Amino acid sequence: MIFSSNVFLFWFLPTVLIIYYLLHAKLRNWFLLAASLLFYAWGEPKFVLVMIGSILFNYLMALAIGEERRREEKLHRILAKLLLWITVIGNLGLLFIYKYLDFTITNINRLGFQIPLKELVLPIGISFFTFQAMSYVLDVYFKTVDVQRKPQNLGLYISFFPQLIAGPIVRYQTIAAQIDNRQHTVSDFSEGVRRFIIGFSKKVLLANNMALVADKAFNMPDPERSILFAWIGAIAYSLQILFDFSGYSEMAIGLGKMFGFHFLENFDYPYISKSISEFWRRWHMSLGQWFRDYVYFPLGGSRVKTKKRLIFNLFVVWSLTGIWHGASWNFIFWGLIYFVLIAFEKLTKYPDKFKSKSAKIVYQFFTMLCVVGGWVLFRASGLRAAMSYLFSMLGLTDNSFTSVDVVVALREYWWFFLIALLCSTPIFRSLAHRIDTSGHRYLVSTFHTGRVIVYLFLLIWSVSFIMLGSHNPFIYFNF
Amino acid sequence: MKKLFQLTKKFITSEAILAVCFVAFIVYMSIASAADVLTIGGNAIDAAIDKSVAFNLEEQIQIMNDQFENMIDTKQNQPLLHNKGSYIDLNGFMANLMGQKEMNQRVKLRNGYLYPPDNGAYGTKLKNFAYSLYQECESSGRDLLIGIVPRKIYGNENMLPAGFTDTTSVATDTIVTELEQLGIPIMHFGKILQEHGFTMEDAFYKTDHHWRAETGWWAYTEIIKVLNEQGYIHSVDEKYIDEGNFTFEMHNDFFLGSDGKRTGRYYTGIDDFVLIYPNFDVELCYTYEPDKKRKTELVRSGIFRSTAFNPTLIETENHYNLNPYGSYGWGDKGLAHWRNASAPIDKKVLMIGDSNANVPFAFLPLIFTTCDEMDFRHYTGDFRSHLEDFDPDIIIILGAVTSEIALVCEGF
Repeated sequence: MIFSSNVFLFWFLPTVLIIYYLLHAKLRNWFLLAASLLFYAWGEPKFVLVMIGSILFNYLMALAIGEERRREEKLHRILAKLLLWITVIGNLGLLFIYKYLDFTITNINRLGFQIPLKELVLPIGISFFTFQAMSYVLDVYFKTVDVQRKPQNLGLYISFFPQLIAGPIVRYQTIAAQIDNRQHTVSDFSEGVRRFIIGFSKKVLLANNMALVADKAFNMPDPERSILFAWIGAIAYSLQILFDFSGYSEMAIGLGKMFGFHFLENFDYPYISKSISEFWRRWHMSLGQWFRDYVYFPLGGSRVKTKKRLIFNLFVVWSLTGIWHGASWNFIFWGLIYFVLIAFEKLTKYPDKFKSKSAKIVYQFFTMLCVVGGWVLFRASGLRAAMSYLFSMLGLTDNSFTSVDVVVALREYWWFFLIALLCSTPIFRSLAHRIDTSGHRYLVSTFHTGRVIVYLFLLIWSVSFIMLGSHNPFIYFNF
Repeated sequence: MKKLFQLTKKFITSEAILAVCFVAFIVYMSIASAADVLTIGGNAIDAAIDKSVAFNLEEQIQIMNDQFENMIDTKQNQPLLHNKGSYIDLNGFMANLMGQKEMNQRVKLRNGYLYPPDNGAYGTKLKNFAYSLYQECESSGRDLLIGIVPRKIYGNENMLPAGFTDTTSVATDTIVTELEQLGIPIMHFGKILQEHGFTMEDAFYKTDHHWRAETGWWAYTEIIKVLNEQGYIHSVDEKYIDEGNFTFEMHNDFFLGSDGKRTGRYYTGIDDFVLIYPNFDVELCYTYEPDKKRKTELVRSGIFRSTAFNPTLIETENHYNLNPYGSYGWGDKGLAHWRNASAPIDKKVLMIGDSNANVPFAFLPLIFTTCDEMDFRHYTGDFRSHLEDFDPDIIIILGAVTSEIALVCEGF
């Protein structure tokens, strides 16, 4: 089930909200767990068994690791480490079988073997819930959190429907206390609704409309794609993936708040970044933090003796970041490009070393070019298709400078482009802050009343797109 | 009092009002949609229980079935949702406001008419089927006439906004030429409409892909003329084709066509709808058989007004859930039988067509005593054996080449 569907919005969500708030506090976690499993089972029920298996495996392993970690003797430390490795291998093994097995077989077969492909269907959100489960067990091992003895509570942490299929990757320590005891307030619920509507509108109004332009550009034969349309398509996809992903995260954060949970932010206007490193501090923050805490820091992070080691650490992290997004060379190369760019920034200290403002602006422009180029690699159906697309952006495919597709894209979607570009900057947030702190009571109250009307309008307009059955792509099938 | 005011101020914030509205909205939609499902199901059950309307039982079930099909978008696997049309209206209003020329796979032409551009190449199926049928008719002494209905863009390609192309006119001309070269009698309605000075606005609905009912009625009169010219029939009394002998019952802002149902009422507006029926007395007997779409048989007899139309589709104005165009000849059906004992020409006519043929085919039984009407999209029987059993004197094929599947029987 996806959030931007009628089934979720008008059947699942109201039913779950009403029952949840009618239930006794002791039963609420059980109910949310059941609702989350139903949410996950919708459409492909058999994969709920994979999810339940993952929950039970990590629950039992964490219990065992916690038990061993309570004792200080060397044997118990070794045992704990062994159990941790078994857990990590178990989780990664599950991920490998469903996500990377066919990719591996395909590449082995290129060496002359003829191993048949398994063609397993990827359980939705497997990368998200596997990483969440692993973070819990790792935190138990590192003694950052206590062992969760109630299986329903751990099950709820791993499977909680708001963040189940598209993140953010919630760390156990973030919500451990909230699972056992959380507050339900009117202000939290209201804020949750506001965030949900914003996320829903971003996904349906902006991402889905941008997808129409991007799909047309990427599905077009190379010579027909003019230079200008190739750029418009790449920008449209950059906006689509931003608002799709950040929209989902906002919906998750909002839904979490409606049920009393507080998740950390996952996006912070990444397209205003002045460097690649900054971009990754603002984009999919929960994934970046996961790799930082569980891969980069354990390898030594930046505080290593040699540059070689630093480069190795960055290589490992960015290769893994690339492949986490999907079993394809596109994603691996995409990750490796970021490895090169971030290694460059770490080793040379650019752009911080720039003294002139114009150099910094040029570097910011370069950053966005790299990001947009990266998204082309991310979106294209293969490496060859990505290269062809990049070549058509540079006019190297015998393509014309402009075409009628440019006129159509701008005529049909210029409003959405304009709003999407504005929403990718903090301009509305700054404006709201200015009004709130202006001290003009009339202006503030008018603004707040107007905001309610705008949000309600955005909600209903977004629903109209869903009712229409318009293009509603699901971008996370690879994740 | 001051404390109460502060407390109120603390809890009744704009965010809280938004939250209340949101919850009320999703709960209302959930309950109202569930109620709609129950109402539709309940109506069908009521009809089944009420034995006093046994005659209309199957009709009622058919209507319920049609309503379900209209309201459940099976392609999107979306459940029945309350007041879906209002949301489509809002979407269309916003698209109109933003100046969008394309919405929900429909293009707004320069005159505001909706159109689904089609660049698909047509196969040779229609040509092959028509030629096989022509040969069969030649050997068995039957008469054959083919009428090709144009799409609304025919001769008006300049109406397409920049960035959209359509090659259906070329495809239509090509297939007509090929059929003519085979010696098959053919009516190219695209050309005929142009020769008679019809504009797109005269001939077609703006929210639907079909030609207007008035155009369909006019096409019926043209078919009669050509049948006479070809020597298939003797000349008929003018009263059967004289406009003055028919009532043109106007229903203003009554019809939202299939293109309009995708874009809403505020994207390009609503069409007027005309119900046409003869002023002279005629006793018809009409039946249709169960097919791919309809699970039950229907039998009606009486005057034209109550026999040739599905009355429930024109009694009430319901832009989204009813299709008045489908009232003519009870809409698309696999096989229907028209009988008119008092018709001036005692011949058997087999009418094969798509939905463009619904209107003209509803009037041909005024002239002929025995007509069978077929649409291969819904027909489940064996065409060859029906042809042998029915043994028609005249076969008329009428439709657009874009819906050749309605006009072609595979394997014939």
